[in-house]
Amino acid sequence: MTIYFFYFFSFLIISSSILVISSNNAVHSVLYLIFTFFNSAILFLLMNAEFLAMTIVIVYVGAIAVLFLFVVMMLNITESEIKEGFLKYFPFGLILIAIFISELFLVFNFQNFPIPENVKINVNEAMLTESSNTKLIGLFLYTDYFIIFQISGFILLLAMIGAIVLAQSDERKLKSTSSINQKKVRKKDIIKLN
Amino acid sequence: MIYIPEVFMSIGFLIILIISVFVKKNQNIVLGYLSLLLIFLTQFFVLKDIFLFEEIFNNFFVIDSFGSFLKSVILICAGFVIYFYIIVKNDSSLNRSEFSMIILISIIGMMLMVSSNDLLSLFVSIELQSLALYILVSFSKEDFNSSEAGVKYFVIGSLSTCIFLFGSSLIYGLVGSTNFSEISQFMSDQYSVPLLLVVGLIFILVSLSLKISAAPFHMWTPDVYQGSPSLVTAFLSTAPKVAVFGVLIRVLVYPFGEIIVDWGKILVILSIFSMLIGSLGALRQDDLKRLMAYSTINHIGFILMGLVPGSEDGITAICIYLIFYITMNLGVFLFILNMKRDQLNVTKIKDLSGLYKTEPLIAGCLALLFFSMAGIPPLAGFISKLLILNIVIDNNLFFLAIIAVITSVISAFYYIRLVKSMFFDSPTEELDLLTNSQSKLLLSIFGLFNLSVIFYPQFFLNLCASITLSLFALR
Repeated sequence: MTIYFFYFFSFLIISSSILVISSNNAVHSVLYLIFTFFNSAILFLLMNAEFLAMTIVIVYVGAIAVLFLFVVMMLNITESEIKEGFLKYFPFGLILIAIFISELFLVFNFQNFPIPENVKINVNEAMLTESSNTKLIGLFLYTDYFIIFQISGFILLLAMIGAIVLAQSDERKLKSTSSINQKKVRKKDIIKLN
Repeated sequence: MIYIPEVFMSIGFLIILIISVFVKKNQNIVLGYLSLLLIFLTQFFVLKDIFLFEEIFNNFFVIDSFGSFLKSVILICAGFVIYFYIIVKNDSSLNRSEFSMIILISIIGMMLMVSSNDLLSLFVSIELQSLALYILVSFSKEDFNSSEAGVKYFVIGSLSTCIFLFGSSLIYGLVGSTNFSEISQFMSDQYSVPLLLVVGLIFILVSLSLKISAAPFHMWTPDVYQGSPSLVTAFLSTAPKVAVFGVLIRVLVYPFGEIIVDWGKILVILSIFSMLIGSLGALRQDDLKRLMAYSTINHIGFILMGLVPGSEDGITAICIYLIFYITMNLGVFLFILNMKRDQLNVTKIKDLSGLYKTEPLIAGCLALLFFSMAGIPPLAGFISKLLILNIVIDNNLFFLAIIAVITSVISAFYYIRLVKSMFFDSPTEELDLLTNSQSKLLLSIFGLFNLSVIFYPQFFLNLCASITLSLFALR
């Protein structure tokens, strides 16, 4: 039963991601992208990974896709600009697709894909002992994989510093009044009654 | 007690980050000196444990002499770049407290890269390093070229990340573990190596060659080298290359050592393409930084050639080549940093003309460096090229050796063209003289080093041979 669901949702993912790059309106593209994210979350649900499914919905749909939507609405790109150079790059893309598909076909068709035995974290075994998926992820993330977690923290710190470097400018170009000056203003200086 | 240099460096970085908040706006040099101090101390910790072997952090990282040696080389590169930052008068856009911070954090990433023993930790540390480099490349906001280079580098870098992840997911799906020692165990248990593993390795190889700009994955290099600030280019062309070569050697030799037949061919193709494009592409360049980009591609091809046999001697030769390569590159970029006319940076080749008449010492040192890059006999570049060619011929790869010699003759042409322009052309407009004596001194030291290596090549040979022993002996 699960396998049919898998094929159904994978089909939805592939068709909606084709629609992402082929639709004329940029806002529609982003909406299709959100649909793709939802479907991939469902794929995780089918594999009993409810925490990952929720994370995908929260992070990708909630944060990234909404940010995309804002950017697309602000940029105001016309249709012709997006389609520009499509024909020029199309043959090259076709060659790339052909290479990838033939490679994957070669790999997966001529040998059956064995399920490895000595997996570091055996999901099925872990599921039997501890029923909660979220609890297990937390357990592994903060014990076995803590150094990866720490380095990811460093990446986030670096992203913060980088955003400050790229966005902050030294001289104030905006014509705004400083809040200190605003507080100094007295009513009798401004309003005059004749 | 885990007392590894990376942990020390990270803690030191955080402390300097806190100090940077309290430093006044026009005193960023203080932070440069602090970073230099931190790099010195970390260097001490690296060298203290250079002969230690230990698997740490739940087998995610490994300390061995090969890793420690590369860490020390990376630290030296970064130390020089930060020293350049201190002594050379920079553009106003580089005068921010964050500059040395980001260099420090990228070094942490590189040090983690060369010591990682697992695909997962390798991925995370490559991300840490390359995110820092994207920011560095687009550092000067006023310059349009810098932002363009930043976007290009970012797009290419994300593509390389995707390819890496895809390859590692294939390997994980087959092996059931991302750990190098378990992948190696899996390979030795198998009767015949599955095709899927080879495909995964090819993906990882492509991703790493995007990072070292080996042709045909070199497209971004000239634009990024030209667009980014010269100081950043100096960093970009030295330290990350060393780190990625460390990763490449570790990944190919240790877990995938059994399928050398498969990756050997790929490396041959990569190195032939890199040498050809690196030498032919540079012929028509008129910008010194673009020319250095093509020269880097050429050198990368040469270095990759040493890895084709996958033997101990080859890796020794690669280590020696990397040391000499960074001294040559840092020297040339130190000069480029000082190339100014009316307080503005110029990087055209014709600006070099007549340098000999105004600055004979500098012109001499620069000529030494260029000759060394071309591989003219008594200099350092010659020794490293000789070692690599020796390895290649020993392994009966004659066609590779012939291509290498031909391309290095072609590349000698454009290096000599630079030297000719310095010594024999009449000057068009004079450059500003090198105002700081420290740059002069440092440039002469680089030149002298390249000249004098011929008297003690045995030192480097013994050092690198004992280093690479750890990669093979302990496993």
